[in-house]
Amino acid sequence: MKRVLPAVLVVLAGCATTASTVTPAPEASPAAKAPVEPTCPKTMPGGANDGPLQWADAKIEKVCLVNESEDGYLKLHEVVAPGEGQPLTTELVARDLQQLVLTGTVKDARALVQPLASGGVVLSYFVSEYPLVGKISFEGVKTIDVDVLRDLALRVAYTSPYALRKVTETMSELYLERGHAHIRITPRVTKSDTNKGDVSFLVEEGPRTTLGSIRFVGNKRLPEAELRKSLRSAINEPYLESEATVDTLQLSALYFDRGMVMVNVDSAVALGKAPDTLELTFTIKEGDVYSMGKLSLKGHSLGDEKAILKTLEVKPGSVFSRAALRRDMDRLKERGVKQGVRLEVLPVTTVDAEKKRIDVVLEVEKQAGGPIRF
Amino acid sequence: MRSVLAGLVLFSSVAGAQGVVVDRLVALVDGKPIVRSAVQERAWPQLMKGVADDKRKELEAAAFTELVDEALIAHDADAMRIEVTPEEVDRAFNEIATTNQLTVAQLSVEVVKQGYTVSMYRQMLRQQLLQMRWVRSKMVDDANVKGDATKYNEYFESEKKRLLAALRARATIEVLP
Repeated sequence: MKRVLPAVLVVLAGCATTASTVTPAPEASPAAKAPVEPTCPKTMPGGANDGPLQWADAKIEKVCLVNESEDGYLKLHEVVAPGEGQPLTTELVARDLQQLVLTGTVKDARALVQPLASGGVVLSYFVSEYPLVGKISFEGVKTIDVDVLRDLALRVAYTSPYALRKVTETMSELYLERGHAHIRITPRVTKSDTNKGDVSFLVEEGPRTTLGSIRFVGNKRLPEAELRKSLRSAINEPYLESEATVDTLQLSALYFDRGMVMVNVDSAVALGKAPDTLELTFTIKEGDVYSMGKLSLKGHSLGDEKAILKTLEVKPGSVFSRAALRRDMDRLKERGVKQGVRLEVLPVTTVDAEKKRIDVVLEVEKQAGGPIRF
Repeated sequence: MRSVLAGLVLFSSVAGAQGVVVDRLVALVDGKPIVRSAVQERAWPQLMKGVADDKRKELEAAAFTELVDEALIAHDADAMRIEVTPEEVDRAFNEIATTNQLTVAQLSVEVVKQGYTVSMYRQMLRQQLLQMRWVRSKMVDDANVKGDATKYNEYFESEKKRLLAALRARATIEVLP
């Protein structure tokens, strides 16, 4: 589609006069003529409607910002002022509108273009902002110090629904950590007599849900007492999914250190027998016990390999232990430090599922950064 | 960006001193703006064929819904660190050209003929790739649809609808008058 702009501009240049946007030229002396200064509208002109951008590429002689209050004017005007002197394009206007919203204070904005006799335009942004937050109050808070919630609420300066929703979510997380799985917080904004928005938070805490019991299913080689000791989740404390996930990893680590490298640990939570309690169950598939196969070193030499391997904790034929292997990797790094070099040690494992054996090559890499000086 | 010529003659005779509201906010989606010009740009490839007013409103409403969904998915994808690189968009553009037995330059010409700008088309490609990745990262695996492309596509679309509905339920969407 082709633009018919040149013809349109000629038509519009003939029509474009308004007392609000073109200052009549003063009586000019023969010596000098005063320049015509475009001015900003104070309100949206009555007949201005939505329409296509007709003066594409016309010079923006003036950028105006019209908002309802003096607060924030400078900050908002700063966002759009760079457009002055630029050619008018759809992209420039769309970008300005987006940038105005991203200040976090604007709830509505319109871009008005008024043509000038010079062929340029005045670009005016009419902006409405969310009211500033006035008083903050809470209703229904019983189990948390209300000042903690108030501190969170004070981070919101304008009563934007999105900002209020985000702060409400943060408050809810505090409750969830305390076991209030059914927490519900509703912010309500009412206009104050100073034109601010007073925000009241209605808090429905709901019952506190705690762990009534923790069960283990499938553990044969490790006693339950040892498994329980490794847990973060605890009876009579709130159930947190994040903690249950950490517990799953921790249980797996216990098994890795006892040769059961194919262990699988899953957790599931269900309603407990007592009201407002949950039951957490860890289901464990232990798998076979693997032994240590060949152990060797590769890469940067720290000395006689046989002699070094004798000093390590891990021995071929012993039950594989991830923790013991880690300690040996640290020992090798310490050797490097004593020799004045920084080392990285990476284990490369080969698992023989038939023989239930793991061969390990410890790859020793010298790190950049120069020798360690004492 | 295309100017919509329909009605231009009318506007040029009445706009005059009052000026014209050339763009404005139409919605805020989780604090992110959607502007009228973006809705019109998205609807343009359909509108350029010439449609009646009620159909025009329907097309713009559909374009608006698309943009809202894209904003919701983009926001969630960003939180999950799902992204699409410019190189991936280039690859997708090249693949479309190859599939249609066109060179990249020829595809660019075809894209413009259809009412898009190349930049807008690439942006839409990026959105589609992002949406695919986002849906796949969240959809529940269904063994019954594996190996059957038609069933998989149907299942994919139904999962996308379900996930979008969940996003919309949580989102703050302000539609402006």
